[in-house]
Amino acid sequence: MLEEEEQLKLTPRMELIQYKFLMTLDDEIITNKKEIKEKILKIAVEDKMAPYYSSICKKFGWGVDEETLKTLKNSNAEELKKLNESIKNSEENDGESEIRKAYLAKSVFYCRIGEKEKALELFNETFNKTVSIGQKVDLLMTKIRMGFFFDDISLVETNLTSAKVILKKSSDWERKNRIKVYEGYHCLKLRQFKKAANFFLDSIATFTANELFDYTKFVYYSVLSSIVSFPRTDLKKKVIDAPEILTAIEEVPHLSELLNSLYDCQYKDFYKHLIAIYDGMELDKILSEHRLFFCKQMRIIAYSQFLEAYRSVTLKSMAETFGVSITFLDKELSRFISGGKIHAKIDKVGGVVETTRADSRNEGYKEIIKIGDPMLNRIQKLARILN
Amino acid sequence: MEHTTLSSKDLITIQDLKEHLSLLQKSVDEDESRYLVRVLRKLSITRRRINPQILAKLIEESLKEESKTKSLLVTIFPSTLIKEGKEEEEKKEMQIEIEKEEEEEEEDKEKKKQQRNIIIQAKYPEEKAYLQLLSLLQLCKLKDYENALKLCEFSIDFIEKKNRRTLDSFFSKVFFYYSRINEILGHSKQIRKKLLSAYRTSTLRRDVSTQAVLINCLLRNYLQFNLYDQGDKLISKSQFPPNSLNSQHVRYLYYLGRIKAIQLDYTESFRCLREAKRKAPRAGARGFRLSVNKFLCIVQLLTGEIPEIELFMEKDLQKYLQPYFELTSAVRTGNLGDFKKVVLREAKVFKEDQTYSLILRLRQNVIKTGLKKLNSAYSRISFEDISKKLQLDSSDSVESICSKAIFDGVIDAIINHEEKYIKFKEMGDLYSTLIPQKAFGQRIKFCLNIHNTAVKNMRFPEELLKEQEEIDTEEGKEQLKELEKMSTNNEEGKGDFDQGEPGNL
Repeated sequence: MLEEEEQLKLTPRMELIQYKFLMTLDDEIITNKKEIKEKILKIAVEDKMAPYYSSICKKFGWGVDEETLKTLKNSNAEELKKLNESIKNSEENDGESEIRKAYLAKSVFYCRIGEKEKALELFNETFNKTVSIGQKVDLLMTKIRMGFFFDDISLVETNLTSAKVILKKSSDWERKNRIKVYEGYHCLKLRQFKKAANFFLDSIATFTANELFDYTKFVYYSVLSSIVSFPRTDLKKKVIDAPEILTAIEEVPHLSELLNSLYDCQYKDFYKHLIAIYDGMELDKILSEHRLFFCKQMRIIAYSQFLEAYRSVTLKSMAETFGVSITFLDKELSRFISGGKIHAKIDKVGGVVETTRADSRNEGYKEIIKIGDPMLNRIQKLARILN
Repeated sequence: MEHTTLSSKDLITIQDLKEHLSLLQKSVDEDESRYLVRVLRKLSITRRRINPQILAKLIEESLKEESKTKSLLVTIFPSTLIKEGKEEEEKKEMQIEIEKEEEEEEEDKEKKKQQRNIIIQAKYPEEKAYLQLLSLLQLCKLKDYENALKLCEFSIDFIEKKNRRTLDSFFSKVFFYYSRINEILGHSKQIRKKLLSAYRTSTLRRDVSTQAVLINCLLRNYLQFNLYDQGDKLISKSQFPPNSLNSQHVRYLYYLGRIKAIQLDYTESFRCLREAKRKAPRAGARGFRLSVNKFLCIVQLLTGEIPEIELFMEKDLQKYLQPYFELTSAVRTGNLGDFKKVVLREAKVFKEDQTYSLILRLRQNVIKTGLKKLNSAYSRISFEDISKKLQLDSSDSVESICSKAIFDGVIDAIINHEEKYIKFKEMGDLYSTLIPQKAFGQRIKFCLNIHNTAVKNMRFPEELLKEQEEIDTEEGKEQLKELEKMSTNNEEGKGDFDQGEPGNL
């Protein structure tokens, strides 16, 4: 049983996601594309992934080596025959659990070689034959991983909800925490940093989802998602002083410096490390889409934090603190202020930034009017049937 | 047009068309317009199923030899289209009949059998008009516009002479195609007079559908040649019939919206276009929806609001709305440089959509939005900086632009002329004024009004009403039975004087 669970965990090969993503980046950034290509091909041949091999060659325009493809396909066909035989045998001779094992083996096979549709079908069949909650959840988690592998968001979402429903009734904490990590990863993909941060930090003490990514990467994601969404107090308590994070944070360059410089208000250093992290984000599949947003949020947090202490501050001294030019600062501030993210006003003639305290009553009034008016329009549409 | 035998599907279509003709006859006989409406509602489905062979056969069988309709239609769809496979046809018809018999119930069997073998002779002009309309649709499908035009003119004369109200819907459809065919052939200018006189006649005769169609045709005609004044005059002098078809109403709103936009009445234009969009079909009519969305976007920008992103997100239209989306982003950020770039790049698209002139007016809006943004970010800023930020050409014009903006109420500010800067006024505490009170009061009044109207309009639920009705009818039935009993008792007494009619008391 255990060996099967381990086998199930190892499919599909998540490293391939990262390698495939790296191959799509510019040649200037990724200089060792040849090595990555070799790695991909090696794994493909090792696991005999015939369908994956042909699809990835098509995508990147590499020549399909007919020899390798034929050998892969042959070995696939052989394995398939063996599996089908074993299924037939167990259906005739053995009991329920043996049949389930046979089906599981076949579904794992399809998943391993990268045959999405058939794998999903067979997983569903195995699911119907599975009894124990833990094993059911394991199957669902494999399907979720397939969703990540093939970039199929709806697959991920449906299976996440079913897994959560099943786990509600059980008290399997290990699997519950693993599902949290999956959910956090999914939220990260959808740019919901706050939710992702909450999920990650909840499960940080008992991180066992090594099949998705290793512990260092997990810390990397948690820190980045929390730095952009948590207020200072929570940040200090949950992230900066958290022992689990402290163990692994040194492995990621610039990450702890970023965190500490923000907390200690060392803005010049903060910007330097922010740029480094920004470049690093480009190499990660999920974070690269959100790196501009992340950068923008971090700048807003930094400026608001700085301005909280002042009623008015000269543009010159502010620019010096941040280590940037006045024109750059002016552009940034005007952009964020008119977007409503920072509560201040620039006096360009005097070269001063004056902060305005947000008046909650007025803000509330404006909110009510803004949100209430569309709702009133909709009520009016309903009211038409009265006449 | 090829000479082929009629397939079984064609034969079924012919039977259906014959049923349509009989429905039309019935509609005239019983003076019930709903059969006619039913036939015309199916028109969009019917027109996909017809082909020249079907029409030829139908014309051959249904029209009398002497009718002028027949003589014209026969030249277009000659009966020689149908091959001489008469025996095969009869066999096929028999087969269809047998198959259909087996499917249907016994009661309908006899009736359907009788109906199917009848050869309908078109005795009313409605049926002839229907056949003309079908031929017209077919010619348009085949893009044979010369013949179509001839048929149109014939049809118009034919229907006009008859002056029957039942022909109104046909008249409107024929006019629609007449106008469209002339537009394709490039003769729009010449038909304007005819359309106007036809409109006058239809108003006199209270021909609602034709009125609607003609107004729309005329407006389209004027818009094609940019005669916005004339269009406006037409609108002001005429009254669009309120009880016309939804499709015509939608078109009217669209043309109205476009004319109003050119005349600088942006709020009114926005209202019309938005209604047109709401009443238009959800799927289908893609070209129309696309055009409405484009104008909606531009007009909303001209009123000073930014269109919501959902406007650009409809799946099948997304690709075509891309230039407008870029335009909106440029206006939203107040970035004059981007705006100029987009306009230059997509000039061809905009000219095709006839939105180019409206877009040129947007330049002011870009500047206004830019100023508004500066208003929210700065408390004081010099003219030089403004001209740099807004990418305006000279800093002299900045002062005049700002003063105009203040005058128009776009921004709330004071210009300091000597020191060459502009000082934006503080928003201040709204709660120290009476504004919140008024605003809230208005909205509360509105909600209470709706609540009162809703209470007044409450009715008993349907089930209670139905039960009441049932009880009533049951009582009525019992009463009737008693009456019958009484009458038969009476009759038995009388003898054989009154035979059998219970109503004779």
